[in-house]
Amino acid sequence: MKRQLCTFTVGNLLFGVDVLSVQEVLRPQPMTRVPRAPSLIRGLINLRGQILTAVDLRERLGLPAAPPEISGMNVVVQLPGGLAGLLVDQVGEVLDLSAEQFEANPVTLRSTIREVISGVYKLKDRLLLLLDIQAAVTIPAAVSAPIHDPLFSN
Amino acid sequence: MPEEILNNADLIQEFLTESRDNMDQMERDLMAWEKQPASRDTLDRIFRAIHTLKGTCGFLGFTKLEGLAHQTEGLLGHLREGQIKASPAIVTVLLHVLDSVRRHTGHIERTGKEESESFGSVLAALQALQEPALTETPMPDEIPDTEAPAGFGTSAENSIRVKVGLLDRLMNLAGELVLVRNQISQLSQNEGPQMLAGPAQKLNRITSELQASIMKTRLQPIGNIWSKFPRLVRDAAMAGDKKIRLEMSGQQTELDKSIIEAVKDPLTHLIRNCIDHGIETPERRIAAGKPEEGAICLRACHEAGLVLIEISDDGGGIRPEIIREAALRRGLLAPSQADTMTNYDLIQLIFLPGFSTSREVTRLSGRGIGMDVVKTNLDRIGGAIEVASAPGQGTTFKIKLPLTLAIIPALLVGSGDERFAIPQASVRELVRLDGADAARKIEWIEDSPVYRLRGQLLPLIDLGRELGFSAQGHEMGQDINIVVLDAHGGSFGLIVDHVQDTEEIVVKPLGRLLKSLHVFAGATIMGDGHVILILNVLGLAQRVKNNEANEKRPVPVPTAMKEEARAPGEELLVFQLGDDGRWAIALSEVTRLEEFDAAKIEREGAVPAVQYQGKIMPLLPLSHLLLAENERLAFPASSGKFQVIVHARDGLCYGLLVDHIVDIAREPLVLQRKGLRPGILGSAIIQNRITKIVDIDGLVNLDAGRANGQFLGEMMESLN
Repeated sequence: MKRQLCTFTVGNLLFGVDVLSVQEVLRPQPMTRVPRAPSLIRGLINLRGQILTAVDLRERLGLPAAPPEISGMNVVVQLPGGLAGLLVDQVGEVLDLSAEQFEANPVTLRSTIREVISGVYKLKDRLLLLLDIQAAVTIPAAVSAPIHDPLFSN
Repeated sequence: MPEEILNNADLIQEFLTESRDNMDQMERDLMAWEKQPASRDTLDRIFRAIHTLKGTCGFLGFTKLEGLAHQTEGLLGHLREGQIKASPAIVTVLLHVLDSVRRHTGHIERTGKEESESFGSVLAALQALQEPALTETPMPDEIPDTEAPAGFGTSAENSIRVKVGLLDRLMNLAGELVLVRNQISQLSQNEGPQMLAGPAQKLNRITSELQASIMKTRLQPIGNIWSKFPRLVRDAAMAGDKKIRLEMSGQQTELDKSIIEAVKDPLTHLIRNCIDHGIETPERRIAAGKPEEGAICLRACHEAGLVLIEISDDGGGIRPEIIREAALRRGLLAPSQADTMTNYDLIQLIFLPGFSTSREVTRLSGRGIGMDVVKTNLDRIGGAIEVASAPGQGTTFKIKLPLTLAIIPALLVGSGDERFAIPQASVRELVRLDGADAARKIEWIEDSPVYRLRGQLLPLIDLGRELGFSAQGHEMGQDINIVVLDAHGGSFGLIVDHVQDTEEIVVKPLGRLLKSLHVFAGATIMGDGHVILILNVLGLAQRVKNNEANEKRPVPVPTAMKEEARAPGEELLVFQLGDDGRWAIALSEVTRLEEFDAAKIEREGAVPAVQYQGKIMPLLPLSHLLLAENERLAFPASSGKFQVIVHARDGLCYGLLVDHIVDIAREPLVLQRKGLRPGILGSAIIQNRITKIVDIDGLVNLDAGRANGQFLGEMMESLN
């Protein structure tokens, strides 16, 4: 079974998501900060009149903030709860991948990474991690503290 | 019956929609017919509705429903021919038929099949009612004299059904168009070529019209939900052995569908409340000299871009002392507070969470929702409710609702570098304190800042600190803007850095990721393309109540500042009359300070007055009232402008003309030489100087004829 993945890098990791779940890719956009939001939410973007929540994948993966020379791109994905923008370092090409190249997660992975990937594609010279978008935009228990602030839950 | 028709989901869907409308119409007709049994038209309409139902059910193979319709048609036939006379018992049975049809069609909608239950008791009741007639004449088997079956033709020619989802989408698109329009018009004004101006203006007009029209497609007359109420009132009144008439006006008043739906339960609750607790039993009413039949009035109208709904009854009313006692018993009110509250304010307490006048904590009415839920539901859609009552004469609830949820007027405020929108409906007023004042007038109870707004304590929260981007809150000595907001159970003040315009904004929901942030109600996109967040006033109010927020983040305030601010004493507004006369008035009596041009002063008969907030405000020329002629300043006061202290009482404003506002002082007030003259309370030492304190009650009631005459005379002279 063939599959097309849109690829991008975050730190030194190469990720892929199904092309069909990607609506578009945006250059860096002006963003409105959301005070009191969990730290992985970078802000809100005006996408032609629709409001896009930008999720910082570096933050989600527990990586240090991007160096200044990386301006970052937004991969816009559709989710049941609305549009989200995945903030990544760089966007790569679309790759055709076959089922033979696929393997389940190696057991040794760090848990923050294991949580958000649902398998690995073996490329010729590199490994491509299949990102589980839903998991990537779900706020993990550890960083969700501000949201579960008892003051906010009526 | 051929299989394929039975399976035709479209046909069934159409049948369900149609019968829902027909049954709604029939319910209205039945209520009307009960009042006017002589109305042949109404009876015919009811007959046709049932006949149509019978025909369609036969066609679709819903035999049970067909049987019920057949029996009902029989009864209606007798009624039309006058063999049976209308009676409340017959209406009750017909209403039961209606309920059975609704239940049955509901089952068909869910399962696609008829319910197994047969309509035993209803059918028996129908039979029983027809018996006397049956013995006389055989049941007529005649088709009513109508060409088009009712329901089909009535409104189909000039209206079509559209899915709400599609309208939502159109609404969203219109919203986006508005944003683009805003961008274009900004561009054309600032940097665009001249030739862009014309088209931009046209775009502006068309967009506004388009938006308004699309908004209208979502509007529905409020009568749609009111139509359930006659039945509700009838049934509940019968159950409670009361006689109640429901009067409705303004059914055509239109509101957004989502708002109509959201307001249905609160309205139902209020009406039930009128029936259960408002209207007395017939015996009591007669004893009180009222007509035996109670009345509940439901009115709706548009006013100033809002929809007003009024629900009033002529029942026993709410006795403020009972509310007061109940609030004290439940600890919702401190005795000292209770003494200073007006009856009107006391009655509003029924909206507090946990309020109930019944002695037991369990609610006697048993519906599990109280007035606080009504208020919360209305707050949620940006509405407001208040209640007025005259004991013995009745109670009136007034509800204000926005026309639509999607586009709302909002006040834009800034905190730090960020802008936020606050729904205008929650904004009560704006207060600005300049640096020096701010330090003195914001008082602290431990770490909670409060401000005395016309003598009432207003809890404050600092927006910047609340949202975590200015750690220490406001610096002392800075100007402060307070946005006074109305929220559930009281108001509070929000400290912001700057207040900008009001603007119509398009509300966009926040994605699922941010839903749990209760301080924001959504986001919107400004003309310049920036996204800004909309503050959720209820969410913020929740924070005010919660001191934990402040415990976690102590506010560094210079201790000296705190001590000074906490010093006991009375706040006084010090002003000058004449050359160097120092006078003062209790700040709690001051509503506002204004400045008027001498030319703005008119006369209302023999009284000087100005137009103020659309009303006539009489002026009290204090110099003329309180000073001897040789002490007064020459007329007009130096700059041709008058300083005016506005004092509101009993809904009226009075303007006190003074020569110069000096300062606000907070000092222990020790009155000496009391009551020398009317209008003067006495003298005190304020800021180390002898200051006379005015007696506002005395001033308002003073015979000002001579002083006014002199003042007006001098004014005329100065104008010539």
